[in-house]
Amino acid sequence: MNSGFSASATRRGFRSAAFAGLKRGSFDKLGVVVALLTFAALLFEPFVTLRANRIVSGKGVNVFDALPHATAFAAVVVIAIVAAAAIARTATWIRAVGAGLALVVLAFLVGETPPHLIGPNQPLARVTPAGAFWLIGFAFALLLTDAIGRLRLGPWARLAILAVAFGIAAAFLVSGQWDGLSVMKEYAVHSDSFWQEAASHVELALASLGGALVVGLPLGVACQASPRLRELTLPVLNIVQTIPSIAMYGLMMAPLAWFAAKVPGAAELGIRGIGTAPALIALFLYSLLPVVGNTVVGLDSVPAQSLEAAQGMGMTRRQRLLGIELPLATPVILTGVRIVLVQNIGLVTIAALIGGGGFGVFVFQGIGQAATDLVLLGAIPTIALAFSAAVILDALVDILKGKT
Amino acid sequence: MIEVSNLSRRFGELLAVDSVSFGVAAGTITALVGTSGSGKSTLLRLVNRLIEPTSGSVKIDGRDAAAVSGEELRRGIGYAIQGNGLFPHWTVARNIATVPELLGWDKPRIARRVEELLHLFGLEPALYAHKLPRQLSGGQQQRVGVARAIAAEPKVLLMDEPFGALDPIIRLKAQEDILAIQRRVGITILLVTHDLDEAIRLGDRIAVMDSGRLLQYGSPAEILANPARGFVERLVGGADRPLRLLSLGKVAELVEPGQAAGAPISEATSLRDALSDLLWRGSEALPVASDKGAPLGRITLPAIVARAGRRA
Repeated sequence: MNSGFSASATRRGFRSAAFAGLKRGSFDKLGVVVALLTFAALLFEPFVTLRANRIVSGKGVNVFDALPHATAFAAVVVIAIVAAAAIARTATWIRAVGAGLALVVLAFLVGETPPHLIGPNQPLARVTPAGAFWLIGFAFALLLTDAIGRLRLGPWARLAILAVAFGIAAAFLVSGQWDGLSVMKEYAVHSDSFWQEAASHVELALASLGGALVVGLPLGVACQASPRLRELTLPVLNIVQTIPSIAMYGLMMAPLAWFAAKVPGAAELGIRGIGTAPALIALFLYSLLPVVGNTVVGLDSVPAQSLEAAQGMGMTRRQRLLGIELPLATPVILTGVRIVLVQNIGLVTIAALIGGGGFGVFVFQGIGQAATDLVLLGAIPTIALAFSAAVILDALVDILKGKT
Repeated sequence: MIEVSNLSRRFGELLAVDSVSFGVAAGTITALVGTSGSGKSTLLRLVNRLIEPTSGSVKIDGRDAAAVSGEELRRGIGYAIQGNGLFPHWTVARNIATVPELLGWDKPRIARRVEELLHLFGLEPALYAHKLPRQLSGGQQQRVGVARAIAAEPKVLLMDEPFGALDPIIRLKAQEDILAIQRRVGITILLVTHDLDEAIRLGDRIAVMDSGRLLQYGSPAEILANPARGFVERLVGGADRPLRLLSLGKVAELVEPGQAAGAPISEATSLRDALSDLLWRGSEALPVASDKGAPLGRITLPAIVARAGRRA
């Protein structure tokens, strides 16, 4: 016992000494990675790809050729300063602001490339961001999220940062800075269906979540109260969770087609073997496990003494559930909702395969046409949606936890 | 106030409470003492029907407890438990208001009652009403738990090891507080404890339980002086018995005329504390004064020793 304690104390002492040594002298590890990645990308990777039209393969253009010399030089200087600040052990907020600034500069630069590269007699030519853009963007995004994580910001501050990020992206979109890029050219062609698919993407993700809450919350409450029901339900939901999404959509098709054909009125309601109905049901089934499981865990975590006191003071089962148990379980249940929403936003993409709609439509059309730009038109908003949902629900969980 | 007759509760093969009968007079404290598994907590839960009896009956204030629904019954009986069981997401004020709200009191009346209780328990409302339980110390949480239990002015308060989670110094203070409040409010308390000293300190009457049966029911002095053969004898018969006996008496009972040197002690001091004081000071006798400081005489070591050994 004694020796174990002193050994761990020694280890702790050793670690803090090593940490202090790093702090006094050398570099920030993540900063070194970011800087190396940035410079390697600038030197060896093309910044954008220039193609004669949307489906031929093109040639890579590095940052100095893709931009006017003065712009390219200024940009490299800014990026180098931020990278240097990342290597040195600078204050965390400086790293955050620097990384954010570098990302804005990067986003601005990429918009500057099309007018520089494409002449007036090349209306079909396309400019797509390439390796260097994505790698540098990735490096600084890493630096930014690391710095924000280390700042231990409260939920409201994190929401504010998300809002600022959206504001900046919106400003770029509205100002037309990115209009020359190939993704925006795809958007120009698909602008009608884009918003329609966006709406059906969000609808599918939210409707399946809503259904899972309506069914899963009562089921979770019932499972928590009855160990036998719990033993029956959770393993089944676990198995459902392991079915690959494409297989799940496939499994839905036959029974739903049969249902639509045999049950009068079903087809009129839009129930068919393909389309929204199987997508919705599959997503709903995937959503059940996190909702039911987290409801059970959340209710289990309510202090037994609070429950005994509640019962001893004459609260009914209903009053205990609504007034004490569910409010105390809410942060854990919301964690389940976060998992469901992020998971569903991703899975809706696959639903396009069976005619479910959503951003996946562009992804699969793009794959079919070998048009990467169209794939990006579907992929980028999906990622933005999933990321925002995660940030917003994380913040919500923290806000609610702060109140209990 | 509480009339328990032939009360039994069976869990499968186990007879947790075995035809227990006793009565608790209004405005008194009765302590249920026993080891864990003795059935004392089950008995307490049978009184407010958190557990339904297998047979027998409970009358509270003359009315059969089984005549109303369990919830309605419990709203009329205070209930405080070990570790207080406060609702962590509710403020102190809302926690205290739980039962009044269940009973549908109007808002101003609830607010007045909460403020009154916070004052009674020495928690300044402006400072504490809007705090969450986790922002309070353990002792404060325990006081809020008791305040919540008596918020709707019940005539009966049930307490299950209410001081069990407190450290010894705070526990002593909490026990004194509950005695003071009980005297002020005149509530009838039935309290479960495994600590005999706590039962002696708080109880007007002590009920000793073992294996589901009520072995002896009497005043602390009776239990200490004439313990029933077997379990009760072993429970009270330890090396502390003379000291426990002394803790029941006051200095006033043994004052004799005469003089003694040293600072006077109060006539309200327990004989146990007086003995301790005499031994510590190394004197044979100490002067005794009234609460107001008037000299009353003296108390001597031999007198206390004689008292401690009298019935042993």
